[in-house]
Amino acid sequence: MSKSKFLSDTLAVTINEFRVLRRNRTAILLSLVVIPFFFTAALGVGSGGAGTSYSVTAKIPIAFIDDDQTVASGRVYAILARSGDFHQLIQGYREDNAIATLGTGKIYAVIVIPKGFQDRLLNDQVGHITVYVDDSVADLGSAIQGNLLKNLQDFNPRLEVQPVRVGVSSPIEIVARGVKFSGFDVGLTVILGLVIIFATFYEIAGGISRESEEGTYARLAVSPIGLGAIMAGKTFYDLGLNAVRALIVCALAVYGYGARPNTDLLTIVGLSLLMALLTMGFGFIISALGLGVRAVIIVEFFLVLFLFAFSGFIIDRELLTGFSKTISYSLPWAYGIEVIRRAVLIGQPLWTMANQLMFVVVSTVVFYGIAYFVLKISRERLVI
Amino acid sequence: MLEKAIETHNLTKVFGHFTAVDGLNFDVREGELFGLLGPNGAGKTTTVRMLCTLLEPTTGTATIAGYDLVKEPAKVRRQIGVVSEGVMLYKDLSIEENLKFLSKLYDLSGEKADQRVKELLEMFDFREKAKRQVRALSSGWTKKALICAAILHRPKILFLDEVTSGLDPQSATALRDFTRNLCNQGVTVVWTTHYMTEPEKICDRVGIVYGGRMIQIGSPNDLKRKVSELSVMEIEVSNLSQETIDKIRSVQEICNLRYEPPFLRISCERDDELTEKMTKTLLSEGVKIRAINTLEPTLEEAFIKLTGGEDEIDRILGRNDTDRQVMKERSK
Amino acid sequence: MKELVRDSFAVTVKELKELSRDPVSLALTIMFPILLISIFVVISQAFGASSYNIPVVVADLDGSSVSKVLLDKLTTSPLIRVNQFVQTDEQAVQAVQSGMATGAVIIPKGFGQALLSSGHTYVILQTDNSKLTAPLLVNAALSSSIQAMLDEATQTGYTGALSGFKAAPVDVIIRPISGRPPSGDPFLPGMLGMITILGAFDDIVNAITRERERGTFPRLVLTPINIFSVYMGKMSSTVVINAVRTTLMLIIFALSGLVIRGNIIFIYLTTSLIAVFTLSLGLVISSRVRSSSTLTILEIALTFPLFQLSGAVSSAETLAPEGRALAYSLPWTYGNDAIRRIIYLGVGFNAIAVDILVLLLSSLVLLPIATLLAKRTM
Repeated sequence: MSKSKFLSDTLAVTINEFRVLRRNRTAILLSLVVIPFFFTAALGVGSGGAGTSYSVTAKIPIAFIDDDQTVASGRVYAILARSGDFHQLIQGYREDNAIATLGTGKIYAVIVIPKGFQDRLLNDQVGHITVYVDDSVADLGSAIQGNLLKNLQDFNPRLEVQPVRVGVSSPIEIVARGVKFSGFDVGLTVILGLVIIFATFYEIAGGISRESEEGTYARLAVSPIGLGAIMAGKTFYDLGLNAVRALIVCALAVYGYGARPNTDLLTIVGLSLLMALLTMGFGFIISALGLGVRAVIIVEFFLVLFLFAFSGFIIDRELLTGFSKTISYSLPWAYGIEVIRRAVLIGQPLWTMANQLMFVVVSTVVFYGIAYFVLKISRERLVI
Repeated sequence: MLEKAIETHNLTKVFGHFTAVDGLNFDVREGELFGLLGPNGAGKTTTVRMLCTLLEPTTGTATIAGYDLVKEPAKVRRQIGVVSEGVMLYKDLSIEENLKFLSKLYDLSGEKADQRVKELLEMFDFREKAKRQVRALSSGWTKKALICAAILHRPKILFLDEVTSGLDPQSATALRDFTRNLCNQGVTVVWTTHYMTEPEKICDRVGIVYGGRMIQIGSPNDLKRKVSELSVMEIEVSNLSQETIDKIRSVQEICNLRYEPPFLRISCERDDELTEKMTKTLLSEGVKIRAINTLEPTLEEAFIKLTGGEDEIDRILGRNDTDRQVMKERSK
Repeated sequence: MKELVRDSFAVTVKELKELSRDPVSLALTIMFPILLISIFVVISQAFGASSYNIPVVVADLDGSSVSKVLLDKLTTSPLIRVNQFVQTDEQAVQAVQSGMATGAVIIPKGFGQALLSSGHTYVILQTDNSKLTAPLLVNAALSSSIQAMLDEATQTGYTGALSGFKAAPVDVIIRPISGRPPSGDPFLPGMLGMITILGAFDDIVNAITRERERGTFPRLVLTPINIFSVYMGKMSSTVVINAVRTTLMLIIFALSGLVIRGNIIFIYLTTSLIAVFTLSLGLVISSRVRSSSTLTILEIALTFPLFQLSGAVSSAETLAPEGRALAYSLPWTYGNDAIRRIIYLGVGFNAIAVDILVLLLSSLVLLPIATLLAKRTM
């Protein structure tokens, strides 16, 4: 087949795909609105957006029981109530009542200042506060403990006005360097990766399955078009869609939730397209199995879950051990996500991540090669 | 002498343990309208799918428009058009959009493509339907759309697989006339059908496929002559014993006998006295006759006749005595 | 009434028969819980491990005997792996920026001198904060190494400037009341909720949309059966299938050592209602969305937002204010909350009554709407 024929066939397939998409409002809605929008909005709403800091414990009803009834314990209450971390401290409970109420949803923790609290502090001993917590709520215990310690770090029972400056309790202070990112900023890279992978897989693997079921793959198969042109045409089509998706996610993140990526838009879109290509290659391989559309979607869902766990989406790969680690370090998506994260959050130049990028590129080429071969030998499965 | 547009050499297709097409050898001349006739599951569609490169033959090959089917499938595809189940158009696009897309794949350039598309839409009288999505068309119009797509690039060979099924009689007639016209213009057509009466209306020659094998090839007149010699009688009886059935079976002229209570179905060589013979035999055995009807032969009965009887079928299909016994039990 | 029950039962039996012959849905029913749990066990094991291998570089610009003590504590920390010692601040920072290390500890020149003379000094920690959790562990490793160093100084009776060192004045002792295992596993009840939701969504695809695509739904409604009976029948089959899923999940929970404090009946009740509500919503959606693949993709597209917002992974209480408001408007949140409290806290019916009521009322509102829409869009 000549080069010009290949290019013209590829272009014809790409344009045809867009034409079919244009006629299918549901597909447009799902592909370009529901998936990027839902995912990004859920992250934004859940985390409060970039730059938003909110205290996890601020609005949680917590019982405060003062068994000491001293000046010091009163001052503890005042500090906590003013702190911004404990807006719903409820007094008046008895300890046994309060503990019994935990788990009903009326209160989530019980702070108890024991008798003798002030005495201990005035004698230069450490004062103990006990917190009974409904820790069936994940991370609540550590959040309450952290906020209590933070607010009482320099508590001095002898002073009516507590020190304003947050002092250092330890002789060795840790000076933290490195830009801090909000949960939204970090989550954004996860969402971008998820959206791209999820939608791309559906469009490619699901797309070929659909064509196979509807008989249009057979139509292409009896025409002079080659398999390479079909794959190339669908690839360009999906790259176009992914560019739009990446822009939607970025626009929503920046203008809706105040995210500030540390790299330019072109880099973000470029990296997204690279991830899309990788996923497309894999999607083509799966499409050769001749599964129905619904089965492909289920497979896709399992794949995304798998990547979720092992690709550094929600758990840093450094934390994985043994077999999990081996899997993680062999997944090209993990390297892609790492590159996106470092480029978007830290602004690390791409050339410094050449190894990771190379791994992704090589994997993409390998996937496409395997896909071409597998689709060729699976031709009958797709046209029957 | 006309060139052979299609020539098959031991074309075989096996799916797992099932042989769908078994050593098919036939040829089709240029400009011929060749019918492939056979019941459902005979292997007609599988044959067509192999010839249009959708399926790869397990063994054997074919020459299509001078190109080897197995070695040069891409070149074969340029020469053929296909209307077959499972080879569809994009439902979300209009027929016009589908044709324009396909024209690009067949290297029809801009103006030529537009012209050809317009020509086809006018030929088939699409008018405003041309802008409608394919999914919104009725099955008849969809079929027309499929034919347009098949002949868009003026192929040398056209495969029409069960193309009249689901069409009303007028549309079916119009389609047959259209196809005949194409052949007159030099297009070779392979027409598959399971309707006995169809090949005689348009085909130049007919190949009978049964059990994946080509049983017979001949002109429709030959076919008709053989079938017209066949007579089928259905007698509604009661209390028919096995002894009586065996006695009737022993009558020389009978080709095939099947008893599905209360109907006794006999196919035989045309014999004006046969009805009287049968009636006498049954009455002498004390069988009560409720009704006697003369029927058209079924496809299988016709095949049995055309292929020289059950023994011939068994020989061709390699059925042994056990198989025959089973089939006999089933026919009681 | 008798007819309703009879017809509903007939539909239920048919649904269950069809499911038993659909490998994709069977796989979803059985494999999905197993796979989901396995994945989250991996995750929670990762979060709950006692030691890690997080790569850290160290630049000891001081080189004193004091800094060497800190180095010693760092290299023996179970949380990190000191994989390189560098000579300069820039090299340490570069290691983090290039991704070679997750953190860099820079002990400045004069560290030991300052500590011994004034009792006060500092250490620089450069972390790769693009990572989710690892930087926190590096920080924790450094803090605990510093503490270990100071504890050692105190225990050995050191009388230098450190001798006046005071610990923080107030200590907070946490007393958890839940039955949650120490390893955490905070996700498991949420996973049960999510599997119930996704399973019910998939039942919708099978129940209505595929029937419409195959043409068996028109066949059904052409019979004397009432559309309400059809929906009730499909609802019942979902409840049965859901019971199977819940049982499978509970077996997995038991095998992974989770102790269920509450009454199992309440778990079945809650998951059944989650399934019923989800199915009701799905029936409403399926009156507009006719394609099974579209519905499946929609179902899965909702998965990740629901993970975030329905209390499956993180409780609604710990979300940002807008997220919390949205979470509390989703009936699923109440269901997941109830499951969590039943499993970990062993609460009784009184404690989950509101959650049950929310799910029930939501279903009761949606089901008639679905029936009405089905009649209009037949």
